Formats: sequence, C-alpha cells, structure tokens
Amino acid sequence: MAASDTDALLIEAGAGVGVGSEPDRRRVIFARLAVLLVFLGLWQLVVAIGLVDAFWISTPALIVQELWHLLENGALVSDVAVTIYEALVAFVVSSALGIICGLLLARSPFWDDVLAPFVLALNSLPRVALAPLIILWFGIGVMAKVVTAFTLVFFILLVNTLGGAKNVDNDIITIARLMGASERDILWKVTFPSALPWIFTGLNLGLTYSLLGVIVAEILASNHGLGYLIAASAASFNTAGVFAGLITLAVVAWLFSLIMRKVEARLLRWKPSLTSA
Amino acid sequence: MPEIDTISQPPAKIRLADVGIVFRPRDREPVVAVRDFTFDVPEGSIVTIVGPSGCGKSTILNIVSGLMPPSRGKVEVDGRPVTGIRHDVGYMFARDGMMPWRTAIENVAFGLEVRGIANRNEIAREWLRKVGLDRFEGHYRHELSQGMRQRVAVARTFAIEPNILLMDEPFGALDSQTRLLLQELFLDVWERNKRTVLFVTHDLHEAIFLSDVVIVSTNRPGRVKSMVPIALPRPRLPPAELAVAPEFRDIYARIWGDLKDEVRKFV
Repeated sequence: MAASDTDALLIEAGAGVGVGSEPDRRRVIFARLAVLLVFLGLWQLVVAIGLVDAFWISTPALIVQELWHLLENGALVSDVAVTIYEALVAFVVSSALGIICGLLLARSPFWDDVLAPFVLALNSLPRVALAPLIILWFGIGVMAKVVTAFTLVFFILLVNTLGGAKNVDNDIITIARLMGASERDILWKVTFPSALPWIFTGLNLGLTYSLLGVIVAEILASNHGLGYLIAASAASFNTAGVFAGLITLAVVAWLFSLIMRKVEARLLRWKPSLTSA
Repeated sequence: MPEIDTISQPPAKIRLADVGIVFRPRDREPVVAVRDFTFDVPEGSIVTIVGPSGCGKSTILNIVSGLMPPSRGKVEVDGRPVTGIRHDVGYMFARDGMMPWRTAIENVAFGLEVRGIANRNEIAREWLRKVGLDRFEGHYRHELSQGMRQRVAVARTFAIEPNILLMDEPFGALDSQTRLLLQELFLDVWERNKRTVLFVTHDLHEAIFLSDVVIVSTNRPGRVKSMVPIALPRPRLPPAELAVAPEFRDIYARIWGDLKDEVRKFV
C-alpha cells in the first residue's frame, strides 16, 4: 500500500506492480520445502528410535501407505466427493440467502432494528451445539450436514452484507438518484457492488465455516464423507487413517480458499489493494 | 399562476420566490438557514451564489433539485413548482462521487444506462474525449488523479444532457492550478450547449469568471444581499488572464465589498 493514488497514475494500467523479485520467491519456496521435510523427518525419526509409539502418532510413511490404500479401494475419492458436495451445496444456499436477507434488511431500517438482537443472539450461539438437534430432525443424510453448515454460514453472510450495504457512500446514491436511477437500479448497480468487498470477506469466511459445519455433522452421525472417515478411523484405533483424512481435508480447504481468492481478485479488480497484490 | 414577465426579459428557467428554509433538529432550537430568498436564473445563463460558509447555499441547490422541500416560498423550474426529486438535473459536488467499481467510461455512462439509452458507450466515450480523458476510459477511480476524477464528474454530468445544472463547489477540493484548468474546461463545454446553471462557491474569482450574475448572500440566515451582473464578454478569457483585467478587478472589488461584512461577522 505504498503507492498513493497519484503514484498509481505513473504505472501503466493493467501492468502489475511486480515488486517481488524472482530469486527471493524461489528461496522462500525452497525454505518451505525444507521446513516440511525436516518436520516429516523428525516425525518419522521419533517413531523409528522408539521415542513415541506409532499407535499414537503414526508415521509419514504409514500415512502415505494408508492414503494409497484408500485411493486404490476408491473410499477416499467417494468420501472427498461427498464432503465437497455437501459443503458446496451448503455454501451456495446459505450465502445466497444470507446476501439476499442482508440486502433486504439494509433497505428496511425498521426491520433491521427489530431483528438486530435476534441476529446477534443467534450469531453468538456456538452453532455446533445445534448439530445433535439437527441430526435428530434431519437424520444422517446430506440434509443434516447442509443445515448444520447453514446455521453458521447464513449469519456470516447476513452480517457482512448488511454492514457493507449500510456503508455505501451517500454522495453516490444521491447522484445516482438524481440521474434517474430507480430503487432497483440503486440496489443492484450501487448498493450491491459497493458492498461486494464486504460480501467477499463473508464468502471467504463462509466457505471455511461451510466445511467446518459439514465435517462436524459427519463426525457426529454419518456413513460417508471425510468427517466419517476420520471418526471411523479413530474409533478403530487407525491413527494413520485419521491423519490421512486430516491431510485430505487440509488439501480440500486449501483448494477452496485458493479458488475463492482467484474469484475475488477477478471480481474486485477495481480495488486498489487487490490489483497490486 | 406564474406572473408573466415583460417580453424583453428572457424567461426564468429557475425561479425562487420568498424561499425560507428552517431546520428543526430534534431537542434543539430551530435554525433559520435561508430567509426570503428571491431570484431568477434566466434560460441559458450561469448564476452563482457566493456567501459565507453556512449561509445555506447548498441547501438552495437541494431544494431546486427536489431533494428537500422549502419551508416556505415557491421554487419553480420551467414555470412549474418542484414537487419531488428531479431527474433532469445534473448535480456536481466537491467530492467527485465516482463509483470506484466502475471504469471512467462506465461512470459516465451510468446516467444513460438507467435511462435505457442504447448507444450509451459511444456517447460516454465522446464526453470523455471532450474533457480530455479519452486515453483513460478503462481506468478505475484509484488510478485517476483528483483532477481527472472531477473531469469524469463533468463528463458524467453533461452526458445525460440535463435540463439544468446544479454545481455545489464542484472544484472546491482541487489544488488551485487544477481548479483553474477545470473552470476553463467547464466553461468551454458549457459554451457548446448553454445549459442553465446554478452555481455555488465561496471562490470569488471562480464566481466572476463563470457567471452572468453573481448573487451575494448574507450570513445566516441567508438572504440576497446584492445581485451583480457580470458584463464581461463571452467566451471569457482564461481565468488567469481575466484576473488581471481592470474591469474584472472593479467587479471583484464591488462583490468583495458586499461580501466582506458578511464574512467578518462570521470570523
């Protein structure tokens, strides 16, 4: 954020700032790999010299074996597919409803005022505690997972969208109105794009929480998905299986946030901080 | 029924008669912002209100645009009373009001877009060219200097071919050199279509350079203290040259004489 608005002029449009120099990047990646290898080496070592039993912490080699085994028999692919499917359905439905409700509340200060304490109360409740009730109501299928995630993600998007929509520059609204914009134009051409950075903050968070809700519900009651894989492995004292599930989960979460950031950078390319990042 | 003027006078495009504006803040004494304000803006002319800060200048623009009703008196545009938000006005503020999520050309096209005009991009591009920003049509707000943003605002304001223009210190936030250039640019664009303009500023040079008539407002509550016709030939000289002309200095001295007492009360 060193470049001021006027400095930005000196940079030809579209051309990235490109300050990060090449050799530095390569050294960082190399160092990261080194950290990872040292960690894995130590892990393998403490078990090999008998400091800790493989029963408790498994070993990198055992986990790779387990991953390979799960890939071969197809269990991993189907569990990942189930979890991703549930998380994405929950994410899309909850985000869409959260954004719509946020925009609606922003238009009606009366209902915003009426509902504010309820939103606050529900949003402060540790929603994971609702999971047993939700499982009771919706069983162990996809629905229970989606609803559990919904209770988390919906409020995140609602609160963020509302915050963004209330923060619209009044000058812009006045000018738009004087130029003949209808209320509908104001909503979709002013309020929504203006709130988009806030909405994306909510979406980034929402995707993580969507996965969290789904995994918790899977761990509690399920016969599919990564949460089930982790819970079932732990129940049968298969630590390698637990770690295999956790690592796969980490990769899924990382991919999710990677895609999200790409979409965000594309849609918010008008933001100064993102164009130079 | 509006009274008909004598035939020799041009028709009033904007007319204020005995306008009073009172603000009634909750739990506090009402504030009389403007009292007995009466003036006409003839079709195709530029009338500027100058006055000390807080004399209700901006409020007058708000009631002409229909953003707020006057507490008393009459406000008419084209002989008809203003009853609600008008969609035929071009409004400019000191802040540029650019939408940061739209490029320069998309900002200029906004008013045309909400009016459903099909060739809005060609029109917007033409206006960007007229304000000298044709090379910057794809730039976002943060990629433009303050002067360029205000030029986008000028293009956006003219692009919808407004019936009247309301200008609330539009160049007030610019550095003094940029301001001179933008004043010249504005007048240059204005010369081509001669829209009716009601302008508000506390920059006397700006007021004299642009206007056909300068209205000096008193301190709060704002009333018309004097109306000074600016009989300088159009098209006007560039502001820097005009400022040293003897006739300019006479007018300046006269307006400043009226304004000084009002500002002094305030300081």
